Amino acid sequence: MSKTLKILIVDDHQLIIDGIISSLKEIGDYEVFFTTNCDDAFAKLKQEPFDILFTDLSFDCNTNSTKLDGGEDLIKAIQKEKISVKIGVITGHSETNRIYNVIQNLKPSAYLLKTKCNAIELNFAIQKMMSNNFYYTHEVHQKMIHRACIDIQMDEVAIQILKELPTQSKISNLEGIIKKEDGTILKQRSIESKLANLRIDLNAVSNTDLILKAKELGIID
Amino acid sequence: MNLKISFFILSFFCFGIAFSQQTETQQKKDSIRYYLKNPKGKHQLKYLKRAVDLAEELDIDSLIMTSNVEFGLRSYFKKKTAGLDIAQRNLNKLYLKSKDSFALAKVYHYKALMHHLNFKKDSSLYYYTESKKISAFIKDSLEVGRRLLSMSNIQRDGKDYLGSELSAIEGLQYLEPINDLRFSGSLYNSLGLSSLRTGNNEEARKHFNKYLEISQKNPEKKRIYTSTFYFYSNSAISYTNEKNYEKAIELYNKALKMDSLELKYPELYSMVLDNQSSAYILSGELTNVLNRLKRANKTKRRINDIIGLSTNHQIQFDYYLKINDSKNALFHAKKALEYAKKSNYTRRETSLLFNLANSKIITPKEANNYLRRYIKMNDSILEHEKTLKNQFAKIRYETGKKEKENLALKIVNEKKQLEIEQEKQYKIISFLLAVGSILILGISFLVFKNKRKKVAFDTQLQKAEAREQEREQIVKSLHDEVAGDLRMLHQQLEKINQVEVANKLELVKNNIRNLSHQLSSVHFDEVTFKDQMINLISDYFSLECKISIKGLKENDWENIENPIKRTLYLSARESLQNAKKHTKATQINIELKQDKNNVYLVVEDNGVGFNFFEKSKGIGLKNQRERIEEINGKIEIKSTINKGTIIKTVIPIHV
Repeated sequence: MSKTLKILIVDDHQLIIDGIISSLKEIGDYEVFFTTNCDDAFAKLKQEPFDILFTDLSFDCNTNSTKLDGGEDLIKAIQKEKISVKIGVITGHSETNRIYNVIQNLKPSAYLLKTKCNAIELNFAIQKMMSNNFYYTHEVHQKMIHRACIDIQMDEVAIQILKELPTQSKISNLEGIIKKEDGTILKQRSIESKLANLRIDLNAVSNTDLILKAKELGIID
Repeated sequence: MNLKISFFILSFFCFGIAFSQQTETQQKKDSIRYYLKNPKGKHQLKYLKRAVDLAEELDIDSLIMTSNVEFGLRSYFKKKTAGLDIAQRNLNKLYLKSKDSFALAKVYHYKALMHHLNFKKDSSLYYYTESKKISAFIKDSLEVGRRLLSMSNIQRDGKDYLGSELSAIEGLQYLEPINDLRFSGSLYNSLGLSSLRTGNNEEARKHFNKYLEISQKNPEKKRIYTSTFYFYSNSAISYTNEKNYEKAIELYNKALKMDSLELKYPELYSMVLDNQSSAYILSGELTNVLNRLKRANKTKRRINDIIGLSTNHQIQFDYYLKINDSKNALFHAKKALEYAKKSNYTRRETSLLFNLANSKIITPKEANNYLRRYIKMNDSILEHEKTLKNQFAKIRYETGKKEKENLALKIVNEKKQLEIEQEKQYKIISFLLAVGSILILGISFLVFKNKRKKVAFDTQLQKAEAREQEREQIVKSLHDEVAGDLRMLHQQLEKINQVEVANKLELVKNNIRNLSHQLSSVHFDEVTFKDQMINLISDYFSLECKISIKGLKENDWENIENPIKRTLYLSARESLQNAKKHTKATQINIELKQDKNNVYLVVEDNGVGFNFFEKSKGIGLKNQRERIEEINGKIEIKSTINKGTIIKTVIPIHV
């Protein structure tokens, strides 16, 4: 690594900041800065470039003069200003709603939970982030899969494909069997792209893995 | 079997009776038709009376009508008042029963005929007028024309020539539009006769010509024959009046030469002979007179023509006077007087008395006597004629007056009708207005009620929203203030190395966070209801407890009010929490439904069930129920131990 990574941490709990800093120290040599409110963080980011930003989502000690109310606002502001920085969320919020919304709308490079935020996790996240990948901690990932599962349950075409796939030797054989809601036939290409999406959603490595995972999740019998 | 046969016999028997009854009726009908079609012969009236009786028996209105009308008319021709009276009474009965105005017109007609036969001309005229009015009312032009013809004749007989002419003209006004030939011809004849009496001989002949012209068009030979005869004889009279005896005699000859006049109409034949003789006498040509007069006398005697005989003897008296045979003259004068008296022909009587008194074939004393009788009689005749004329005039006047009154009444009636119509219209309009205003009132009441309901509903939603905000506030203060204070405590405890206590405090903090999460509400401003629901289910989804949802994608949630969606979401969350925490369910099915008025949420699990009266589980459910009832919804929980729980929620979408 030619250059030391510049990391900014924003959290309203000094305790958490301290914890993260000590974990980062375990991993390697980083140039670490921190602040306890979003406005200050945003000002710092505008002043000088950072490689990584770790932020919480909810900040309790907001006053009336606070402009950026929480992590989401901060991320939005950064994206609006097109400030180049990898964003990782470290939060206690594990509700699917929060996770889904943040991941769906703000697309942070990482989503970690405070409860499991140790050196290994952080290291893994930083590695992924710096190689332009995403890292969601296991619980978050699991929640996203569950969500996809519910979504797939309601997708009749997906269920048809998942049900028919084990009975056919080739994907091309599915053409003509799979029908849309309006009764029209789904082309092989569409079936294949659908399958690809399903694999991503359920974190499956192959079609066989997909079927197994779908069975495990109760999507198909 | 026996029963069958007896039934057959019985039915045959019944049929037989019915059949015989039918044939009997038919026979009666046939008889009536026969009697009515057979108007000649000496048993004519007997037959017609029988037809009347049969019609009565059958009680068929149309047959009663025709038979009585025919019977009455024939009775009149035979001068039988009794028959006329029967017909008139029957027709009156028929009128009272059927309210057929034609019958009433006939009743008056026959009453007129009865008075005519009894020489009561004024009464007769009165009833003719009444009959005519009814016929005019029912627009029976033919009957009106016929009545006016009779009236015209009676009026002329009563020397009311003006009245007679007016009636005839009125009659023509009715008959000409309907192209009646027979009676309109007769009316022209009547007009001619009236002109004759008033000395307008030329005009009279014009009318007679018209009479002949119209009658010639009549397809009935008999009508042509009689009209030709009357044309000759009446025209002859006009020439006689003008002292053109040659022309008169020529016309009389034409009449006499008509085919078998003597045989067919002996009365007319003898009348023409008499009239021609009179013309001969007046012209001074006396050669063939006596011969003719004798022939006429013989015929009249045969047919018992009393009036005719009086005329005949009067002419013979004139003849003998002319040839100065005073003995025969006196004889015939007395004969003429005798017949005139017999036939109630007072006018003839007076003229005879006058002529006799002036004849010089009697002694002056006798002449004086006759003269006195003449004066007395003439006075009474003049008096009678005067009153008759007056009465006629009166009838005419009153009729006119009545017509005027009727017209006035009609106008008044029309006015009234118009007023009634207007009133009706007003009534309808006011009724419609009333109905309209009631409707408007009703509608506005409903609109008002609905609006009020809507306002109430909206207020309720707003209240729910407000309560939600309140809850939010509580959650926030729980999270911010209480948790903040706890965090301070936690930090201080850590500093003084009270780790055990600090860990316990951490537990309390987590509990509070859970509680705040439980109480926390949701917003659909950024994330849609659909996504929120999926997220919610994802939170509770696990490999041990699978959750499926139906009706989320299929329905549109955009237009559902936020408080309703929030309640659905929180209800689902509460149900899921309950199922997950307490029932050990491995499968939870959520179903959402929408219809015009409501949204439905059904959460069903296969868990062990629970007693929801238990305190610890009661709080969440109570909260859930409260939220639902705040917005007029209903919740129904059915939990069976070891079978599962089903929670149904219904929330009205709008008022």
